[in-house]
Amino acid sequence: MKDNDNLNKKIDEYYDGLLEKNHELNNVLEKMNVINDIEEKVQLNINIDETLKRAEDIKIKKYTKRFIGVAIAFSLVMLSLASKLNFENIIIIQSVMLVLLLAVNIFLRSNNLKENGNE
Amino acid sequence: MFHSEDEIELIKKAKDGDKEALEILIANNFSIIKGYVLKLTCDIELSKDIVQETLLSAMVNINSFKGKSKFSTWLIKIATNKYKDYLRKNKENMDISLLASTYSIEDDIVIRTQVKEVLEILEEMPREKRVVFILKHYYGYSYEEISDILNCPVGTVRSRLHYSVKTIIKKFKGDF
Repeated sequence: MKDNDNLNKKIDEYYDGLLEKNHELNNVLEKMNVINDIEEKVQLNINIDETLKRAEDIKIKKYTKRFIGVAIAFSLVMLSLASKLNFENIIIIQSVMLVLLLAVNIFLRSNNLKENGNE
Repeated sequence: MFHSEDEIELIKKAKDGDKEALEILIANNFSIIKGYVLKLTCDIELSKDIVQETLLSAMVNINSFKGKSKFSTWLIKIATNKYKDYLRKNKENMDISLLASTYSIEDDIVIRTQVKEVLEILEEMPREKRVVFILKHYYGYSYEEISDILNCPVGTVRSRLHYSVKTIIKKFKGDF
C-alpha cells in the first residue's frame, strides 16, 4: 500500500515536472517518448474533401428522414380528422396542411443548405 | 485546456455552415487525432478507418459540439468511442510490425528497436489502461480531463495510470 502511494506520488511529480532528472521513473517514462512523433512518420491516406462530401450526404439523409417523419405525423392527424368531418372541411384542412408541409419542407431545406455552406 | 480565439471563430463559422472553416478546423487537428489513434490502435489500417470515421462523425455533428473543451479533445473523445465500438464487434488484433517498420528507412537501428519495444508495451496493455496512459503521457491531459473524456471517475483514471506505469517499469526492468 505504501509502495503504491509512493509510486502515485512519483507519477504526479513526474507529470508536474517536479521529479528529479536522474530518478529511475523519469528514465523509464522518457523511453516511452520515442513514439512522440509517430504521426510524422506514418502516412494515412485520408481525403478530407471526400469525407466532407460524405458528411453532407449523411446530413441530407437525416433531414429527409426528419421531413418524412413530420409528413407522417400530419397524415395521422388528417386521418383522425377525416373520420369525423364532412368532405368540404377535409378539403379545406388538407389544403392548409399542404401549405404547412411545404413551409416545413422549405424551412428544413434552407437549414440544410445553410449547414452545408451553400447559402 | 481552452481553445484559442481563432479556433472559437472557426467553430462558430463551421456551425454556421462555412465548409472552408470546417476544413481548416479538421486540417489543424488532423495531426493530433492521427497520432492519438496510431498510438491507441498500434495499427496503420485500423487507424485509417478510425480517423476517417471520427472526422466524418465530427463533420456531421459539428452543431452538437458545445465548446466546453478544445476541438482536439472533442475529436479524441469521438475517436476513443469509435475504437471502443470497433472492439465491441471485433477482437483486438494489433499489427505493430507495419507501424514499427515505418521507422526503418531513415532511423537507426537503436531507434527502431526502441520504437518496437514501446509499441509492444502499449500493445500488451489492456485498452482502458492504454488510453489513460496515452492521454496523460503524450497529450498532458489532467486527471479530470481524462475522466471527462472516458466518462469514468478520477479515481479510476489514477488507478489505471498507476497500473500502466507499473507495467512499463516492469517491462523496462526498472528497479523503482
